[in-house]
Amino acid sequence: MENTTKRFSLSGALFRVYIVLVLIMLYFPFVIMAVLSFQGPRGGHTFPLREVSSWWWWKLFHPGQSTEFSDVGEFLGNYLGALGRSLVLALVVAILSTIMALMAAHAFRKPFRGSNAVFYLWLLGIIVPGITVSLGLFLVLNRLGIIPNWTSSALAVHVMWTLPFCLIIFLMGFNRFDLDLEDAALVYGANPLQAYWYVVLPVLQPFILSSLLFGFTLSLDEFQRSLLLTGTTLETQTLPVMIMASVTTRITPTLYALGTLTTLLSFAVIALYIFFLIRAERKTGEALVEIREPKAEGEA
Amino acid sequence: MAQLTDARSLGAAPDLSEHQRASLSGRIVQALRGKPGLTTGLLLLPGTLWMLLTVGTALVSIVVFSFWTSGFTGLRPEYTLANYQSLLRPGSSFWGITVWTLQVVAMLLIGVILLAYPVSYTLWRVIKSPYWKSALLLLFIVPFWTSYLTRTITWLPMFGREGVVNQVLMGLRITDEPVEVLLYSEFSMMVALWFLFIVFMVGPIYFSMQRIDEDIMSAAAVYGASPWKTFFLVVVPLTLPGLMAGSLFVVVLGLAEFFTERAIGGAQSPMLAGLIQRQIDVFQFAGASAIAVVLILITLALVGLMLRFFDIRRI
Repeated sequence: MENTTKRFSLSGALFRVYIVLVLIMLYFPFVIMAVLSFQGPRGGHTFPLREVSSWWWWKLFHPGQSTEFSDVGEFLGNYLGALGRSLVLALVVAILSTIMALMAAHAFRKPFRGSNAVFYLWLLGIIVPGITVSLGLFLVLNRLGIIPNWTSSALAVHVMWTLPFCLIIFLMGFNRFDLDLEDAALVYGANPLQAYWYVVLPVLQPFILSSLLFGFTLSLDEFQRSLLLTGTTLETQTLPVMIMASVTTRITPTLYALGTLTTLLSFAVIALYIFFLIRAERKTGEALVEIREPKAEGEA
Repeated sequence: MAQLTDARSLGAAPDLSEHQRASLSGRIVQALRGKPGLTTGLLLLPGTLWMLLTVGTALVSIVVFSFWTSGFTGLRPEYTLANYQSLLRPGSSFWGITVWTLQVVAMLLIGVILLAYPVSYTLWRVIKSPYWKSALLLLFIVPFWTSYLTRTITWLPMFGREGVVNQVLMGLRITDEPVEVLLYSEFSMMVALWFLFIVFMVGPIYFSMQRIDEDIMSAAAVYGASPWKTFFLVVVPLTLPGLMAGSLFVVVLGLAEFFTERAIGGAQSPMLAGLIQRQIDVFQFAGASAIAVVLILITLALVGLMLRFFDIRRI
């Protein structure tokens, strides 16, 4: 008996060590990137550190200014301008795809003819390799004489990419909760809009938040589909497309400063999501209790 | 209860008040009442139209363009089989690249499953405190919401002659000079890909483990199944839905991958998506379209195969 418990705890310890090692592999590269972003002006994008400086951070915030340390072939795009465009785009994409996916998820609650075909059409947005979508639409726009831009063609493919994710999130939501509650509210005298606003939406709140988070983060990072669809100048590119372009030229620690900045931004967005999620789930719990109680009384 | 079913079968709510009837939304509700087909159609319309105009258009056009001719000023609508002929002729580098693509995706999938399964198992069975369970699970999911591009870039300083991994190995006196495979190589690319993709797998496997009934686990123990037997005959089959969901992600996104190869893999051994990008770089749009058609067909075939084994709408 003693032997088995001892063996068990040994394997338990091994498992714990294992996940710590995997976590290190997941997060250690971020730390390295942050450290190297403080590389000295004469240092490169790998170790060793040649002095410590905020030089590359300064360059991040002062794009296009050549200095005594500037190199030939250095990438001079304005990362922060691109970041601004990407943030605006991500916000619009998150809202648009959440609304359209929520609408469609309602339709999927009841079986209808062709539901599989529609569902798999949506799923193609995830399945079809991004670069092929980019190429196909780029060539079509080219034929039509339309110049791609981040506010039009890039928006179109971003929403295409996020919509299926948001749909799946809401389908999971409807699987989780039986919305008999809606019927109950209707019986107790609410009109359909009231039933929707006061009963269905509060229950769905956690899923709406998840959908917004997925829409926002997936769009903020999208580059495969929008690669050819943000326009040809640096002034219309989104951040990921600009990063793609810069990596094929010469990599400087400015890229690490940028990566550190955007990662911190991502963490902030995730923290915000978790904060609202906890609040929403508390509220949903309260809403469910409130709705169920009169029902219980009625049955008694 | 009778009252409830009654109301549901009628599909009707009490009548709207005068005020509500007058409002725009009231009128919409009124107009759609009793027409479930129309409601379904209207709810689906915006998103479905959006998908048709984007991914639908892209798919159709890429097939058409793959039969056109690349000219100096762009594509010319002269139909030809030449794009496919030069691609599929024996001795074309396309075959090797296709095999390599499938190899990378297979290695990626196997590696990610082997790495992620023990992680999910630990979170499910070994860690007891619910607080630690959720905290650790969150740590494994958070990278999914950060930038894939940035996460790839973080692997740049890890490899190379003066890369962190080689420095650590030399520091520990495991090796005297930089290890060749840890330069910007295919092996480095695989390592980066494994840890980039592991976040797609840990969550789905864990969630399907969570759904395993505790009674099943104790039944297996009561009837004398060894831990290994329980694991392979009970746990693994019951986690297949999670494994399939995660695998679907890994395969689909792995096939589409071209950035890691360029940034970490030394830009020496492109996969199919990378080949498309290289063709685009030299304005060979028709040739790129033909490769794109092949890549799409491979992706659809593999996804179709996987969807036979599980229903994605039931996750």
